[in-house]
Amino acid sequence: MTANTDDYGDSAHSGARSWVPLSAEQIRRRSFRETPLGRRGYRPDEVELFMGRVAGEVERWTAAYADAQNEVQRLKYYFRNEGVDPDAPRAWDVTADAVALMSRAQAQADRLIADAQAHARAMQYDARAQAEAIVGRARQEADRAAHAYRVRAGADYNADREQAERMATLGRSILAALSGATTQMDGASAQMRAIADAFAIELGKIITEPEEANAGRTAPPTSPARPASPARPASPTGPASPTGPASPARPASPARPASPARPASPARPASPAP
Amino acid sequence: MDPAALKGSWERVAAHGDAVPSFFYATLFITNPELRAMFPMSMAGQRDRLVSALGTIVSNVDNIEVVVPYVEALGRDHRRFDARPEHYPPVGEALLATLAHFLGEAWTPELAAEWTAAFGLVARAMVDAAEQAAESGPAYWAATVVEHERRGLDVAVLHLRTDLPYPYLAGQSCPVEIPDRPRLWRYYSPANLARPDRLIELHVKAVPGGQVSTAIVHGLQTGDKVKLATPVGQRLTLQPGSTRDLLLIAGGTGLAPLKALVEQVAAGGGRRRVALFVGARTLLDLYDLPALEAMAANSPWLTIVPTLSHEPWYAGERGLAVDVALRLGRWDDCDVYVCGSADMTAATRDRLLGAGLAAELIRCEDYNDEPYRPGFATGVSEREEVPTR
Repeated sequence: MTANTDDYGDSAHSGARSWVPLSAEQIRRRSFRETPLGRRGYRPDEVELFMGRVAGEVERWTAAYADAQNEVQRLKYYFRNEGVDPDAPRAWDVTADAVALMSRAQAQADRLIADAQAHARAMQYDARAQAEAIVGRARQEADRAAHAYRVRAGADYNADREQAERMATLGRSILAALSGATTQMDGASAQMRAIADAFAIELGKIITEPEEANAGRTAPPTSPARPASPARPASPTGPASPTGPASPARPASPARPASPARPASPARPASPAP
Repeated sequence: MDPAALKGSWERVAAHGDAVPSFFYATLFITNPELRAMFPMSMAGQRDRLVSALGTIVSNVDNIEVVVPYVEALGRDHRRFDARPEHYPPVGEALLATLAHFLGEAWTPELAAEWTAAFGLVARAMVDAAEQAAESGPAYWAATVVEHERRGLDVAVLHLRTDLPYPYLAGQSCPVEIPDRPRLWRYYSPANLARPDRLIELHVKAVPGGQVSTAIVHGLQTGDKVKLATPVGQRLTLQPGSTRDLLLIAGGTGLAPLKALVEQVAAGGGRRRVALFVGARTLLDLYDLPALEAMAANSPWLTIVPTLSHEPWYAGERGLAVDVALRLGRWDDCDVYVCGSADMTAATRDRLLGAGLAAELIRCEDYNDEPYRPGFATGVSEREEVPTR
């Protein structure tokens, strides 16, 4: 038997950080010096028997620990495969500071988005109101121009001519409003200005057209008493210009069945359907 | 389970208001950053929905007839958000951490056990319902924009083609998600019957400030891919078996589902008379008139009446659609369908009731202030852009 105190790995005495586990084999091989004669000691056979049992016990626990470690690894692997990170921080480990920081960042983002939305909303409402005001004013001016024409024309009255007056005035009024609006746009709105300019050019063509083509054309299907609206719903093939294509060559025909002469009650079987 | 303990503790926590969902989501996203991508950029609406859904569950926890269908609908609805079974444990953990934080001393091991068990049941029921639903249909349908047409100032008429057949009823609404606004679903109603060529027509108005509707009208292009989820709603579908004539009152793009109803009557042989009053502000807002006139041209049973409220020069019917309808006819024995903005719908319904029409014959979507109700297109946050149809 050889004395070998170093088999302990030293840990129990020094309290060192590097803990080297005691293996079952080390326990079995561990030998003790005999006590000097005349001194009392444990019976070597009992000690050996017990050491054998301790070694067996350590063996079993080591195996069980290894199994458990394998199981942990297997589960981690499984969860990783399922898209779950088993080493992710757990909810109860998250610090209050981190939560507060994260909440503040999100609240800030939410506020920015809400502000942008509110801003966009206000601009769009304004634009819509402005567009309706421009068209409304243009229509009033067109009505006045048509009236002036009727007074002026007297016996020479011509429905086509009145319509041309009306459309020309309407177009000029909208054009004036638009060019006023484009000068207020800054550089960032170059695209808007380009659209408005293109629209103005188109409108210019339309305005000159009725006067040139006036003589040869048949009367538009709109009576003088029924002012044409310049803003028909955009035709499916028409360009998506912001104000819709205004075509004086085809004054807006209001919806077909809207005439009060045709009551629209399907509930009354007797209702006339001419 | 101890319902009183769950309800009592939830009440105490919910009293902390918006701080509760903020804490929950911050915890969830710190521990599971990859889950953040499942939510929209702005979480403002999301927080209300979480609190609303939790509140509904907790307050009905001892009412099986209410809580079970609700939780199952929740599970089915979460398929379109890509929720999977493994997402539930981290959510449960964040929920428990949130409750513990706000309850402080009152968070006992017994209460923790109650909540853990309750969450486990809810998660199980949601996962089961989602798996069951997966057997009958996909979580969402991929569709391609085949036509995108601007009409008037702020409306777009879209034609989508789904990759797979997408079954729905005329009058239902479809949750729609577009690539430019991920995780933001909005409800739109098809304007046509489900067709063999899988084409779906949607009418979308760019609501001022609306995150999704403006992107659809001004940004979406032919060829773009969108997602449609399971259609919802029973309020605007035709009643099976009814042979009554129909009065349809549309406001703005609320026209879409009513146009689909007209198609359904036509498909049934036009055996019911239909009057469709199309309300709009100005002529520019009558964005679908040619199509409606084409429908009416070969259909003696169909009458279309456009009405304009903000067009004093208009030679046709002026005023609100409901007023014009009441002026022009009697509708006592009709099925009445109303669709438009929340305000328009409520005002129209009141006028019709005031004129003596029977409440049970008037059908319109049921708007309410619930932030989230799975299976119903009623939550304000998902509806926010629809009311101004």
